Amino acid sequence: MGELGTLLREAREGTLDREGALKLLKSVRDYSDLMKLMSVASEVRDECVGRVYKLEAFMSPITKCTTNPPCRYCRRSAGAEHDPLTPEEIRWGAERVAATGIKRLEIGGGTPWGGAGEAVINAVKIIKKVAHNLLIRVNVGPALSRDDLLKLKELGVVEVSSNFETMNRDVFRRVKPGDDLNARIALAKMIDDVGLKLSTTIMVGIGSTYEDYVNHVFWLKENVRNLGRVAITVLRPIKGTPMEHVPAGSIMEALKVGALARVVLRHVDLGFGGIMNDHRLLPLRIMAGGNREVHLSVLVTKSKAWLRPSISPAETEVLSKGNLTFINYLPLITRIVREAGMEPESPPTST
Amino acid sequence: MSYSSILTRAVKDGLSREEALTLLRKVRDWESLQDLMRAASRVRDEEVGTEVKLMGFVCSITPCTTNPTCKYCFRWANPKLFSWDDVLSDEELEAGMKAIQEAGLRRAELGGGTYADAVGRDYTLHKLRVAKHAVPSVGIWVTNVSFTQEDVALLAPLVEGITSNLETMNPMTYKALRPGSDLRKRVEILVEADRLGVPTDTTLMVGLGLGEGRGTPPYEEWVRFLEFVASLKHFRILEIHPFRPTWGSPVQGMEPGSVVETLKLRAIARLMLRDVWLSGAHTVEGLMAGANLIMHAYPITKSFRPWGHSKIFASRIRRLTGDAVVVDNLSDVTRAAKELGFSVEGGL
Repeated sequence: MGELGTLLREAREGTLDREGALKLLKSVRDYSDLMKLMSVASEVRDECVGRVYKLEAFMSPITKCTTNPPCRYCRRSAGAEHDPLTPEEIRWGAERVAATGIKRLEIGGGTPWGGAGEAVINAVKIIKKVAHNLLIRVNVGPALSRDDLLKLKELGVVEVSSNFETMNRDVFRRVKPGDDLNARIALAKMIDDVGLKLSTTIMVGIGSTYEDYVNHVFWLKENVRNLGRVAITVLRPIKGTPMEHVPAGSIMEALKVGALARVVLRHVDLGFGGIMNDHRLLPLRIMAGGNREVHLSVLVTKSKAWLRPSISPAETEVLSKGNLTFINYLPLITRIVREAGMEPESPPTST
Repeated sequence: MSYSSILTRAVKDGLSREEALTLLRKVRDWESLQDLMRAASRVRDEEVGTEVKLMGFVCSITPCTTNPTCKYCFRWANPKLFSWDDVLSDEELEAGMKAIQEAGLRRAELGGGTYADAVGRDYTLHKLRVAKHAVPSVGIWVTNVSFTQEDVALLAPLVEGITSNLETMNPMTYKALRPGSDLRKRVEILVEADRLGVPTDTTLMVGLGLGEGRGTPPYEEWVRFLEFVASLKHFRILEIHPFRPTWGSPVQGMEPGSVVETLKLRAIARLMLRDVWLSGAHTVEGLMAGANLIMHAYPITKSFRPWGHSKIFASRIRRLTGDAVVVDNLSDVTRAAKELGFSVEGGL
């Protein structure tokens, strides 16, 4: 057995250490090795979390971002901004989401550095009133206090995000000059401390090295007890942002990092994002050990960027309320999930 | 016979019809799909190597006079497509071919609508002569099907290969979706080109005509399609892609073709057809399924429809002459191949 074979065996058994993880990322250099790694990641996924593919609706924005300057890859740095949803819009969106039969909902928004507790708690109360069984994830960045988290837990929220994108401080400063990695790490620890599940992201394509990815994955393994979800997001250079001419993140690298996260972190939910939010890439996401999506199936949003009616008009439901849009791609997404041999967590009840 | 024993044998000996059908039916999850793709990749590496081929794209050289319009045609979304507004002038075509040569591409497909009758054939011959005269060293593949079986001999000296896209060989599906087109004539073109020793290219569209709720893919039809192209001695290029219901067309309510079935069929085509050039090599999943050809590289079109211009990737639009533009997508379309350990033809 060559070195890659040994590393893959360790990955399969869950004994891969930092050094091995780094060697693994460096060793996988062609399609054949990548497929071997993805097979191992899928086997670990099947064994640790099963063959159910989790589907999560997305509602945004709940809060307005005040990060200054905006992150250099964000639409805000190209001038795009939307007002947060009103209580009536949140209620309308929650009703539409609940009617699809989906079990999970991410409520997301920018980071208001003065605090997002009140806005988020109010949103959760409205949603719980119309769909009390929805498993809610809150994603507003480091704008929540310990009291906010406890209140959210009391209201039945199961998961809160603190997205680092990178733990390389130089890279973080370069692409997120108005953000604060320490605040995000502190929020992650607080989420963990109060017994909520942490959801977090690792971004591919912003300059992180293999060493950075390995350090990031192992930091999560060693420091977070209640890690719920890790998503590998892949840089989508947006026109008009300072990073519009940076090449998009590599799909191959994202698959490698995702597979690494699966074999090291084992029982967490694994998703992909950014340019991998493409239904055509779902089979690859599944083959790399993924078991969860968001931004692909059900969306309630003011941004038209998510509206892609040409994907499958027959399998797309679109409703509007003012400038708010509800989009339901569940029939298409659940079809692909089934074709790849997994069971969608929440089959659609209506389209 | 289990799918794994079929795969083991298929890597060495190819696939029979029954074995291909068994694979299509039994590959129903990520594990078996990966096994199938791995076998296809191995055959690709052994039969055609790990160098990915590139096909340039020039469109349009002719307008489309098909009447009624095919039900899934892009013209439903944009009536300017394949109209005279879309047709490159001789000067634009010449500049486009030179740009393709300068970029280092060895071949290009000249596409356009089906311009019927002798006038369409003569116009096509004229455009082929313009392109050939501009850059004799770039191999031309003509894809507009503005000619018949009898005309193939006239085209042969001007081209490296002839494309006749069938999409489906089910006559009922074809007639229903392409009422103004003739499947028999398209098949005859492939057969005649093959008889004359001219390399050929065709497309199989996954999910075409399945329609809402029909469910089970027409595996027998697909395998018969593959058997037909396998019977052509000089068949070179197979394009397999999922049906996309064009927005605003009569088929917009149909489901798109399955991305998983497309990967399965590409892999099975590789196992059956062995040394064929298989499209889809611009994507990670396509390469894993055995593809070795990137179509639509460096596309030359009129400026109103820069082909395949991506808002995500770093492709750039450059004006050539008149109203012709090129989308410089070479770094985007070859990226997956390079990252996955393939070389790209011409060192590009």
